[in-house]
Amino acid sequence: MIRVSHDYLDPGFIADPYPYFKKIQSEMPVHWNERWRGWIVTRYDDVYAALHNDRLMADTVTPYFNAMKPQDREKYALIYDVLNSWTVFIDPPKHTRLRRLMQRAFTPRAISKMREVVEAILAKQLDKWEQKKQIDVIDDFAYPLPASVIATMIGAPLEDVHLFHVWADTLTNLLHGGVGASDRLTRAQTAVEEFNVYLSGLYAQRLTNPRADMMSWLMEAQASDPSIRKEDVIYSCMLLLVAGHETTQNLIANTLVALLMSPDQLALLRQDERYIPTAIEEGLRYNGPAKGTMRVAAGDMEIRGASIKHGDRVLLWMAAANRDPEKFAAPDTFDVTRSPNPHLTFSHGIHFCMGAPLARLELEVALTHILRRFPKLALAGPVVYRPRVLTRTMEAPLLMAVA
Amino acid sequence: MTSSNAKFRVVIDRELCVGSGLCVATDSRRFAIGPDGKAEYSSETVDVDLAEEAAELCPQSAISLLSEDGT
Repeated sequence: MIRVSHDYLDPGFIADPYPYFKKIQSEMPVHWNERWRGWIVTRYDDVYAALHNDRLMADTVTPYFNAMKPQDREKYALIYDVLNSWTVFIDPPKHTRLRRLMQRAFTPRAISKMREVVEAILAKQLDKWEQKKQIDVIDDFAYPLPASVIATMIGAPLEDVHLFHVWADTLTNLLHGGVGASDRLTRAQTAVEEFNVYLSGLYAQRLTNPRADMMSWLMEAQASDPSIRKEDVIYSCMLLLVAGHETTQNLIANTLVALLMSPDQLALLRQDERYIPTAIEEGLRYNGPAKGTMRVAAGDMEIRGASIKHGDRVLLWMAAANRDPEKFAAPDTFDVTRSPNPHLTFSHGIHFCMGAPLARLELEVALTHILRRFPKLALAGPVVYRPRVLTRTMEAPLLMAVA
Repeated sequence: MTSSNAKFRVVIDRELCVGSGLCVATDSRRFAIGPDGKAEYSSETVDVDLAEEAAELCPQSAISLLSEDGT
């Protein structure tokens, strides 16, 4: 058994994890990291099989809460109740029930109807760029856009988006392990309480006046299924607001930066917009919003000769799998024409990203209009990543010249 | 429309399929996830209502319901 003690917050790894992934993928494709206290899986075939393995559980929250002191468990019971109803952190059969509830409101057809909403929100933001020489792609664009879209879909007024930013950022910090935040749980507790009160207000309005929005659709589905609670609807809306927030921000920013750093690919895309769909998939593969995802073994098993024991943590590095030379030709080349492109960025199997059609739509609309309206777009400052274990999140400001 | 209709067939685009299993959750007697992680439709007869629901729920729009005359 290969044991290492590598630090996933090491500045070199945060800045560019890909040389490291290449090394471990070839030298120790499955190994134990003592510092992270779990197994690390890096090859495409192994990550793919693990995502489809029903003995590798997504509920990493229950073990975490079980390890707490009883008084803390009681204090943070609401956080547990919320996270334990988020499809990303639960397993069948509960997962199947809640995923179907949410999927009903999130079908590709329902998402495609959002195109005009996305275009309208985007146009307003790009109008502001016209009056500037330089913009911050994060704070002026990639951060507010997804939050405004998802808030509109759920049925919340746009003037409340700033509240979602605060709550979503607090919960993202709890889940993705931001650095130096020892009071993460206390802050998350406050955020979840406020979030709960706010969304309960929207819920109450819709009891008497259903509208054409996602919360109303979820409530309709709830009415036809007695096993769904009011809380399930409210917590699912929380998940949509949190999950649709930073991930999409990363997707937009990371793809724009990849294009600007590959001038030939940018020129090709400007020349022929028909490459936008393949460019989106390549953005997802090449430097996607998330590096990996975590599982817990529900029994003893072997992965590529490594003996994984019941209860062990397993980290699946999708970002490493996405550059596996056994699966992708010239994996380190950003190629907007790459097809097929079976990247694992949206996960695979039962936890495949529910927001995938919406993320693709937002990036498509954003790329199309930015390329058309800003022929002089260029990087105007350094690209800095936040110290996060599981995500690839760029730090604001990410300066770009627009004129 | 009868719920068992031999005039339709279910086609799954294997390149698009990500094995989310929502089709299996919708009609577990006819949909299954194969050893390669992709969905399969294993029934000779088609339950049109459930197949339509599975097609609607599929996050990749990988399921189509085709009538035998190809429309």
